[in-house]
Amino acid sequence: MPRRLFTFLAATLVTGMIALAAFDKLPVETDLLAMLPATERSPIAEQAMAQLARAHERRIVLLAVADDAAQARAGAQVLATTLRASPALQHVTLDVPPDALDTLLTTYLPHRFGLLSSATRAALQQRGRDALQEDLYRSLASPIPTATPVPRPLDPFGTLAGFLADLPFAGGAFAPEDGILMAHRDGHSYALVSAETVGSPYAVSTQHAVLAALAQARAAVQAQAPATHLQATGLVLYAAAAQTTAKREMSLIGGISLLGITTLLLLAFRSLRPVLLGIACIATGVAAGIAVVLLVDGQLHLLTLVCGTSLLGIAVDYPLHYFAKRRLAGADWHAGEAMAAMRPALTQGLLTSLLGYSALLAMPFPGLRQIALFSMVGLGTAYLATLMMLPLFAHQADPRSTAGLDRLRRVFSAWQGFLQTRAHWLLPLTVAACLPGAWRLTHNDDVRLLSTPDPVLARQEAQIRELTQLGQGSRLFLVHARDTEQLLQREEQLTDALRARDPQHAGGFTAISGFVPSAQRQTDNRRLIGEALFGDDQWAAHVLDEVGYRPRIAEALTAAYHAERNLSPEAWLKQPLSTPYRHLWLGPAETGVASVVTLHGNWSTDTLTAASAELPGVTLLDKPAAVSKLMAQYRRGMAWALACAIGLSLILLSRRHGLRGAVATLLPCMLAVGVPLAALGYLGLPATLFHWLALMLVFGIGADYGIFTREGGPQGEAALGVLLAAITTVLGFGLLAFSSTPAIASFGLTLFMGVITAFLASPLALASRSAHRSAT
Amino acid sequence: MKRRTFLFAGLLALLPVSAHADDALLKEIAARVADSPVLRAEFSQTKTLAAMRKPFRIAGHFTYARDAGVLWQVASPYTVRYLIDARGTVEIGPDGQRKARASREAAGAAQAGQIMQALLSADLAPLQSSFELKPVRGADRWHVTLTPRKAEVARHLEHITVAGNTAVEQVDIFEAGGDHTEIRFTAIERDTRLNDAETALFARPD
Repeated sequence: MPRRLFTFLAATLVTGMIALAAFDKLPVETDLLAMLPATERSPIAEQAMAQLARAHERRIVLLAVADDAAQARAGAQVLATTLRASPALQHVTLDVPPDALDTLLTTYLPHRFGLLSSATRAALQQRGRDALQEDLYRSLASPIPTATPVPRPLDPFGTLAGFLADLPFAGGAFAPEDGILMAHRDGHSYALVSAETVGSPYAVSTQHAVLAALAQARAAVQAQAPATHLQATGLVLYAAAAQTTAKREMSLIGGISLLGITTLLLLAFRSLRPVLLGIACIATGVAAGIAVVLLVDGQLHLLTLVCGTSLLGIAVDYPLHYFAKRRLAGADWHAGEAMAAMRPALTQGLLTSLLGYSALLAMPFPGLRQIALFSMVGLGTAYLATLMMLPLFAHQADPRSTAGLDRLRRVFSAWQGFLQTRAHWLLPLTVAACLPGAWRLTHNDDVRLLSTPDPVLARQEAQIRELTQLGQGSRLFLVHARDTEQLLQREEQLTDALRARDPQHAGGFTAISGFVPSAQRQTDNRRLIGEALFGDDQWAAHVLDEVGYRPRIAEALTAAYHAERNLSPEAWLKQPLSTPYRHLWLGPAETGVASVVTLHGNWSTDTLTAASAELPGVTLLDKPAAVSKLMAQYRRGMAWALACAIGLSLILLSRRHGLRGAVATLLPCMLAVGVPLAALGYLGLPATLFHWLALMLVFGIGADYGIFTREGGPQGEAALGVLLAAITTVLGFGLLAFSSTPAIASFGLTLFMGVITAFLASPLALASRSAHRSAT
Repeated sequence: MKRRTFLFAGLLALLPVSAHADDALLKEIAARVADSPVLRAEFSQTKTLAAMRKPFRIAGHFTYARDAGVLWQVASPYTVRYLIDARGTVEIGPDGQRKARASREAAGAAQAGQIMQALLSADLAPLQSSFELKPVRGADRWHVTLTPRKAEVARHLEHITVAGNTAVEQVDIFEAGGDHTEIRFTAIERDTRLNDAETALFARPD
């Protein structure tokens, strides 16, 4: 028999080592939002989100920052050169093509009369030619030549210059200086470099390569332009940081948890065999869980992995109870009989846990479903492993003295006695004490709870966003129409409404119609300007002559006006300057065409909702808001699932213990769910989906304790098992409370409180049993 | 070999000397002009454009306040007022209302405002990163030539000259296309403080 045991252990060890080796290659998903279901009903909306996400996720924006422009430029040049050498990056852009301004002019000059900035258009509508006369004077009066690419005689009224100045080019405070995009603010100069990752930013290999390239670039800049420092933002950096944190926490929490459990078991059992077998049971469970999840979903989510580590805490309960029983039995031990006697408790424990998780499995939350699947498979496998392996490999009796453990049992029965004699007033008191707390409980479904970005990265991103006015990517408008012309018109209705609600220009937006107005708008602009300038009285010729322009200037303008045609979106899309904005154009959709309007700066959700409310074909896609709404839904769903699970368990258990018995058995578990909720209320911490997720686990654990205690009998047979189980679980979960991800930390904290409560309350499970017995 | 090294060292030594001399002259000019907190003057601006058969003239008066910026009030052929400071250029309507501008335009205006304020106060040192400055001392006057360092600016602007004695008396702007703007300042007076009307106009609500 020992030979079989060692073969088995060797196999487990080898499997474990292979698993560890493969860990780096495990397809681990770190994008927490990927755990969430599709929020948008319409496939076009999903396409819009996906297309924008693609445009965003590979981009890296870097700034070389220095006290003076020359240093920043030098730094940016070193940076760009180093990054270009990396195979992980592509499209490393530093230089602005020197002919960018010419391109602008060749694109727009032939259509100048149809192109008006919103301000010029409004002024023209309100004040007609008076406004134009002022503009004519203004262009001549301004003492400093403003950097307009339009020669004054071609645009004497400055209307095209106004339109070009209004173009929603990305770049914010950045303007080309000697071919490099530079910005100056608060005594610092910034040079902009952008790049794209070649591979997916979620791939570990991409992250490693990009981080290496960045480190190299930092070193090169440090060496060649020491006065410059770098700032960078990009999804790949966040993903890499999240991956590192998760793996570090995983190894740390998992490791400490494993170490604690091992030490505890060694102390309790004074033998290596229960430890190894316990670990083997858990390992089989975790391995089966990972295997099934990979089989079903193709990849393992980070959160599943981290929560999965805590599965150690429950899975270890099953072998623990077996070994505790054996340890206490002393010489009088028959493995088969003992297991047969334990099986009902184990099975009930497993069933209640599965009941809780199956409620999760039913939810359309991919992440929760994965956690549930992982946990159910893991627990089921650990259960089977306990049932089948332990009597086989640990069948011998343990005849050693149980003196130390008896002391423990005495302490427990003292507590049991204390609880049982006072339960009739202690229990109502506890419930009464919990009620105000539960009443004060608030909820928070903010999606940002899902992740805490690295603070250094977040600070850099905030500054880069501030300077560059990068789009937000998570909030945008989807515009949908029958054809291109109607689409542009709808975009214009939207942008007009947005402008009207933002007189201070606090926020901005990028829309295709900002680059190429609808034919209707262009025609109307041309009509407005034509009525003022080129009417029967030939006012343009008159006023231009008055200020001193030569007659040929007015003649050329008039001729150009009469020959002019609209700029078509098709023509614009062919221009190189449209390249950075083509992702806004979704092109042909199911029924017609669609585009997106992206936002930057400060927009309140109320303003956005109000601006788009009345407009046909315009939908506000607000991913964070939609996800938060969903989280609220699932949190409520979870509460119901928990209530259902308790109800179903009552029915399940009452078949064996009677209704009163079932209530008593579930008392520890119900207290374990209630006390953390009340505690959160008292502490003023809002409950999130993750607290409820933890409560689901607490429910399973609490039910286990109740069942084992009750099945163990009034002499506290199960006390040692429950004690060991509680300590191991606290070791596993209490440590999760130290995770830097708030979601996981709140998960850990709730479990910590719940498990302690369940343990302390576990003697209550015996209450009506002893009462029942003494009555009969 | 030795001689060459010597020559090289001599050249090196020369460079900072001339730069120092320029810096000193620029400092002197700035000190001479900006020694009073408030400066008022009449201005007349003449724009000579290739596309025009006659120069375009405007006239008005300006107030320079060392701590607040420049108030540029055009009186003829039409009235308009500009408030120019480090934050940009704001147009003040006849009713005193200020026109907000889109951020991109504001960024350009801020740059132009900085240049304008530096020109009118003859405190040119801050412009050194954008322009190459060449100060020349005359018999009783000085003038400084500013040549843009950045290609983007050089596309539009060939150079600027600023000339004066105890105040800036003339600014000439030569655009790349051959257009020329001349601004002359007359009736220059110094003061220690702004009058009430000016204070009201300088106040920026934001």
